[in-house]
Amino acid sequence: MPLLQATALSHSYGTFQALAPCELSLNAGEISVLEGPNGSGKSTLLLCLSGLLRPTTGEITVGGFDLYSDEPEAKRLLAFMPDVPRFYAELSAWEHLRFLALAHNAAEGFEKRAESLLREFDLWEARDLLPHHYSRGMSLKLGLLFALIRPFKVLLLDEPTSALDAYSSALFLRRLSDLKGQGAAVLLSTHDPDLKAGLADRVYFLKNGYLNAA
Amino acid sequence: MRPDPDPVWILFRRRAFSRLAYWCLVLGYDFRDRSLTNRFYFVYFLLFWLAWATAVFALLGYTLAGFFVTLSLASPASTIVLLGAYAITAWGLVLFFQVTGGSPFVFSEPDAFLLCQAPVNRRKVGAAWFLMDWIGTVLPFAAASVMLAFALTEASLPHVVTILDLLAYFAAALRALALVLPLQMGLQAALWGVGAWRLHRDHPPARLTWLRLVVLLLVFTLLASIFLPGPRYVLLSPLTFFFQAAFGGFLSPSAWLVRFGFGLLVLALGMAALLVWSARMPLGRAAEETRLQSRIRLSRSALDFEGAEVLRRQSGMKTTRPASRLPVRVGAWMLVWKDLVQSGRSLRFSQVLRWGWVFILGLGIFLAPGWLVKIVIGGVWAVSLGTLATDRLRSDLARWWLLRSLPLRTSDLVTALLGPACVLGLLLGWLGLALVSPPAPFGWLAAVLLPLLVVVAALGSARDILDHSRSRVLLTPAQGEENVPRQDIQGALTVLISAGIPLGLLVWGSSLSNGLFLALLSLPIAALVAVLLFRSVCLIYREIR
Repeated sequence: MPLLQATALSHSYGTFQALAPCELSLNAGEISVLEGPNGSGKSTLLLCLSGLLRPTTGEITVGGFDLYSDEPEAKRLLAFMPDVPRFYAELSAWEHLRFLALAHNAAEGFEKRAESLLREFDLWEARDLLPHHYSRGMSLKLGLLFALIRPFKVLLLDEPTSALDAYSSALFLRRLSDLKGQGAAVLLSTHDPDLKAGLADRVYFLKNGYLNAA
Repeated sequence: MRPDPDPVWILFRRRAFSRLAYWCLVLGYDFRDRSLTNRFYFVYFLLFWLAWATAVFALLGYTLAGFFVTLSLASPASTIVLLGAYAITAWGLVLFFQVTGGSPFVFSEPDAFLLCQAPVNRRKVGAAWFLMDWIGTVLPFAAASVMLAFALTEASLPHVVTILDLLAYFAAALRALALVLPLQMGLQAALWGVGAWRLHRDHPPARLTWLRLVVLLLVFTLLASIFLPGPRYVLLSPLTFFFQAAFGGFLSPSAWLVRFGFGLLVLALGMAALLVWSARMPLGRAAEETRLQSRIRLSRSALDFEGAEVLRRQSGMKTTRPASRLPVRVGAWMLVWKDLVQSGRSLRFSQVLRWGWVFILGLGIFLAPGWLVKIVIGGVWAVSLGTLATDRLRSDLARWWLLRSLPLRTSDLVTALLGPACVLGLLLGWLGLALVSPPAPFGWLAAVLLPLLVVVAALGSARDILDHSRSRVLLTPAQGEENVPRQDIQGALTVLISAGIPLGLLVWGSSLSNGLFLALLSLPIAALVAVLLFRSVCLIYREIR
């Protein structure tokens, strides 16, 4: 049974159909890549799948839970990182991680986990920095840590490597491989051909709102 | 062959012109239209605004002259001279601390990359940036001078004012402007010079610290001199010397000309200080200090006041924050924890004032005469409280990707988002009740009803905000909360009706001799409205499209 299943999913902005009705499933231990030209509907699809944007039609289940009628259960299994993450101006990186981990009931071993992640992604020295002082690359890494700090089964990422340096990109790829090994289902949108070649078990192609399995 | 145009001069000319063109467009004249009719229209445009300004200043002057009579001032001119000297001193002191705390020369991002890295003449940059700022700074001084001059002319005329007196009005305004403008410009230039001097060094030198201490001493002396005429006369005499010529009684033309000459001397000295100290000004440092400030100005000029406020808040915040030691609990409690940490770190005086306003309105409900006035005040209290209680909700909606990702039941989430502000509103309300101590049993009833009213006000406001929220708008990148709707008139009406009915019953019941039943009825009604609103808010939140 797929970890995430979308049936007859579509989204329109007023009269403009950004996403034509489509089917999509993400399986455990699989990395799926979503590609397509700018404005093809990649972000819209990811936002719908993450529950941030209500689809015009269709149903989404995560781990068997309906994303809207069983929202807390489904959200516990789902993690999403947008292309431009926005943070709370008054909380440091460390406090953001604490807030999210504890809001997801993942308090056990938080301090160790957070330290290890921050060190791994080279943000340890900046843990007390308020996020408006972060560069775009740092913001993306912190956004990714928001997902990794707590347990999940499905990870959705919108252009995660668009502002990362070579070292962080390599680290990110290694992390994705680990997640795949741990049985998570990952869907990421990207324009990076290397990312697709090195990781993808499945590739989806979106054009003018129409989704096709490549 | 023509010499190469100076880049600073080109920048200054274009910016000054574009600003002038912008304001002319706002006032009704478009510089881009080069037709002959538009040139004729320009004459009309100038005459119209001149007449308008004269009429407005005459009206303001007339009102002010009326105040002179009401206050029975023995000599309005000497009062104005003294107040003017104090006002310009206060302005100068504020500006002094501003220019010694951060660069007065504000550079935008493009300036920082293009101009500040180029080997341009620093003196010219200093002068150009000063002039661009001065045009904006001088306007309130000029307006106040004209208004005061008109008021004094109005008060001094022995007969009913006629159109023939217009010349006297203009002469008085010119006399005032001729003194005040050079003085203000000279002082500002000198202070900007101090700002340029401060920029020379990496760290504020000891001399600057001493200078600040001396000025601080001057501030205290001036404050003390309000009650001591002797020292006041000595301290303010350099300024009253000019203000007497501007607004004071009759001076012979030669005496006035001497003071006018001294005014020009102050201007020349101030400009000289600016030019001398800005000769080696490190523009890079100035740009580094003012980049955020230029973004704030840009947001304001685009009428994005909320974005500007967010930037201002950020500029006031520290760079780093050690982890908060507030105790934590898992689940929805983390939203409360976050709220407390955020509120503690972004507390501003304006927020304290807003809560103070709610407290005063709360007192007003019980102290006001007549039940109708009480209900009106109660309505304003509920709307103000609702707006305040939903500040955190709006801030969280602006981070929609974080808020909507939380695995929380909607009811827990709504409670956690509105709870802390409601508790504060309730405590303030109870404090007000304790201070007023209305007669029993209505006082007790009010104490029981208050939590319900606070909840109803917050939920009514939240319902309106959520009802107008759209996911795709919430997800658009924004500086502050400009992508989140504010409570509109519909929301204010919801709050007014929801809170007004139970409050009205209580107030009306308490004004009747046998109104206990009516007052008691307010409790179940308020509870019912609160439950209905809570359900509605949860449903709307879940259904945000």
